[in-house]
Amino acid sequence: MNCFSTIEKQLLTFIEGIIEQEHINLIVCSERKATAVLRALLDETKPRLHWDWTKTLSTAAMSHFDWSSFEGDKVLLFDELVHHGKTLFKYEELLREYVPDGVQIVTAGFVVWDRCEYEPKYSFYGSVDSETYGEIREDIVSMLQRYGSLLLDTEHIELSVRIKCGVGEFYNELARATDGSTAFSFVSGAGRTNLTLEQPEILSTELLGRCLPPGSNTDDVVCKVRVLERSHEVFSIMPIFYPDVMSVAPPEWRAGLPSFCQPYFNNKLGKELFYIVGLLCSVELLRGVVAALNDLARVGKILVEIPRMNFSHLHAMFPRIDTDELRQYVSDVVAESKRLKPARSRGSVTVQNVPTSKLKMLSSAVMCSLVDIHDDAVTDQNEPKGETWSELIEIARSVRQGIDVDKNALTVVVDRLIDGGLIVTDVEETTHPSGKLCFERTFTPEGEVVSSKIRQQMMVRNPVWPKAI
Amino acid sequence: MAQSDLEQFTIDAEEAGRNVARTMRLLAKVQLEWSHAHSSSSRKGPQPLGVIEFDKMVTLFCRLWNQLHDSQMTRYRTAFLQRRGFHGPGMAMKIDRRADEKASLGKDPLDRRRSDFAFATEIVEKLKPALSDTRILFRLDGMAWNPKAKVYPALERSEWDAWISQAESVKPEYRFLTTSEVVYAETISMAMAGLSPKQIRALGTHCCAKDTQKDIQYNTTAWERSFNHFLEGQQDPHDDDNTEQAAYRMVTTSREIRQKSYVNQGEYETAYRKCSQSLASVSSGKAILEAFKAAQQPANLIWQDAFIAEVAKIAQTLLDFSVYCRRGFLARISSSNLKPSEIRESDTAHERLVFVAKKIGGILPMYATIPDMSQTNWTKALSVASNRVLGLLPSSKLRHSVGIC
Repeated sequence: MNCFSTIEKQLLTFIEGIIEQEHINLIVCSERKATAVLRALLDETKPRLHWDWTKTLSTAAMSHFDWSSFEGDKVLLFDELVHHGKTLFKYEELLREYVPDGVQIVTAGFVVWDRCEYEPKYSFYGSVDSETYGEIREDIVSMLQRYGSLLLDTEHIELSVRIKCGVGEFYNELARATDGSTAFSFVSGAGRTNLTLEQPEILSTELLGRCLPPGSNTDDVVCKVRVLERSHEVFSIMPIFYPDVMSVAPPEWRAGLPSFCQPYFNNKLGKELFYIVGLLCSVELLRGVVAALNDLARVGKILVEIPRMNFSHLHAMFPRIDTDELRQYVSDVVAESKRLKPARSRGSVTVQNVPTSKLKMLSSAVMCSLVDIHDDAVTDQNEPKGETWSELIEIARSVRQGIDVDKNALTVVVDRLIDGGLIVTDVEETTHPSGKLCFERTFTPEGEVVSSKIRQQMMVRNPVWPKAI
Repeated sequence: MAQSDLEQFTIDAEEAGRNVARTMRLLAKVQLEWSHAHSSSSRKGPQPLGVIEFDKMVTLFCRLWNQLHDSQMTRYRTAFLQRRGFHGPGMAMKIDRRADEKASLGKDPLDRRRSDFAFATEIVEKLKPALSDTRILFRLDGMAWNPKAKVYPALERSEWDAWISQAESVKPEYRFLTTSEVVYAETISMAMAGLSPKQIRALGTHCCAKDTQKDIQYNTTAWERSFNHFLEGQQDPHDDDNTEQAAYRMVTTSREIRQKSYVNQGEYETAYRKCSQSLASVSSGKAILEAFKAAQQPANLIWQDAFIAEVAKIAQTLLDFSVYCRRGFLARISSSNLKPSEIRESDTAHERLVFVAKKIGGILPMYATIPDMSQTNWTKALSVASNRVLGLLPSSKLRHSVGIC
């Protein structure tokens, strides 16, 4: 199916119709992709969906939404793709535990597989075969990539940079925020140029320390800054930092946090603690990045912007945070960073490019390995667990034999896989060596559609990827 | 690309827009590879090319690409046409200059822009404000006409990757490059990346004896014009600025004649060999090597030409005489506009004229005596010497044989 140009219109019509017909008061988006779809409709498409981010929630944030303040009687649980229906069922059950009595849950799936076991109330493509299901899924991912609303950017802060210089110059300046060996450019979805700064320099370990609850671990975790092409002139800078955190947040630590975080501590915290810490730590990465861009900013070649629009969508993920207050906090950090000097001098560091051909080979090999590991876990009757960042990078290292690529560049393989909707992230609770519970970021293949496609590829490509299976 | 900028170049902005855009992309790739190959551990970051070398890089690439097109191996020619300029051939576009811009032409002696067309560096400069729908692919750190300005690559490798990967999903007629064109572009870039700036300049400046003859003739005619201005200026004490400019142009023009008539030969030979070897070393380079050989004559065929050989014999004398005239004129007006290196150069020039070109040097007074000479004696010395210098220039018979006059 080639409905690339009309997919957004169909999504818009579909959701608008349900909102109007059912008088919906709140939309709960199933995981990150559905939130990204809604973001595209709210912030990017023309005409746009008339809806408010304050009436939008991600399933990842259901537990810390202030349901007591919810005034309304209908909640829409939206999933863009309903395959077996297990995810929809799971979230509907979970949502039922949270919503106040009398609130009705309306379910909607844009595309529903013809062998789905738990069907939503509303669907646009009501019963499609596997092939069509896969094609529409591709169309949705392409749509998200085309708007630059990549799948990862529903839970991260984002700066916009308007450039009046070449991309090469812009990227090389950004590389000054790293030690020179960890800045990688590549092409991600929809042919957009990307830059990833892996493990950028932290300009103030003291300020970062304040964001970390005792016992947190920042080694071998996701710590990067992604720079994404939004349009010819506008790039987004997105810091991502997810330390492993203990499940306990001592009062003395909480007291030192910015005021916009405080509403979270009125309730018992679970995974949301992980997200809050990640959000605060990611802001600290901005200091080095903004400092690296100061020379370009001074001569008017770039303009760093902090538009409100880049923060509104965070309400879906952080419903208790006042996004305006968060935006002000980020603005203050950016303003402070404009007085700092970059970690490296101009010309002392350069960006390394990871060619698309190599990236494709590595992506394929990593996916084969991941699916293989995932399948083994299912066969052994174990609960399939996602891979941690260090495990994922280890997998990538093990399959890169014969492909001449910098070991640090493997980070962009993961970026590309996430952008392409091939792997998804989660937060899992594990036991720390000290015996305490802690939370860490994990990665798994996106679902049955992706996994079966990879299995088919493995059968064909087996000789090429000997260790992939 | 903004319509207004393109309309400055052509009436058919839309078609030209596409062709200019894709030509610029190709050139950006060539320069990026060159810059990458020439960065060192001590000097990371993009390495620039001087504006003249940049123009020559453009000329060389376009010559090869157009040759491939003539052999039906690429779908389109580059957007530019070859035009002759002070430094030899360059790729250019017709231009419709604004009145104020026209008035500014040539005010600076270094400014060698033409009124009716713009060479590659100026095209880069003019397209710079067109930010709305295109990327900045080059960074220019000065005025396009200033030979001291440099052009930096502003392309990021992933942009090239994005362009060629996007091409797969675009209709063939709108594709930036086909698969084989990608290979040609990358192979040519690789071959050119192995050249030094001087070698790029040599290959871009020369391609065959006939064109080199015409380029040299273009310069000798310009030299004669400047020399006449200079001589006329000796009679007009109120025209010192113009006379000084004329003297300056005599020096730069004769330097250019010397460059083309024999200095470039060594660099050309090396560059020709390097490019041939590079193209022959890869399977994708065979077709390009043929195009290269069709577009560029070997060095011996160019510099064994009778006209060029004759100019080569007198090029140094012409330069020495020009340098002498400039120093002598500045001495007469008590100007200190010469750098120490220029003073040294003029000392050597005079010595060479006295001991090598005796017929000329013998009648030229020492610099120290020039300020005290009478106007009549100074003008007379110059006139006699100039007649002898002009007598050394290739005969009118030769000039006619290359079809210039």
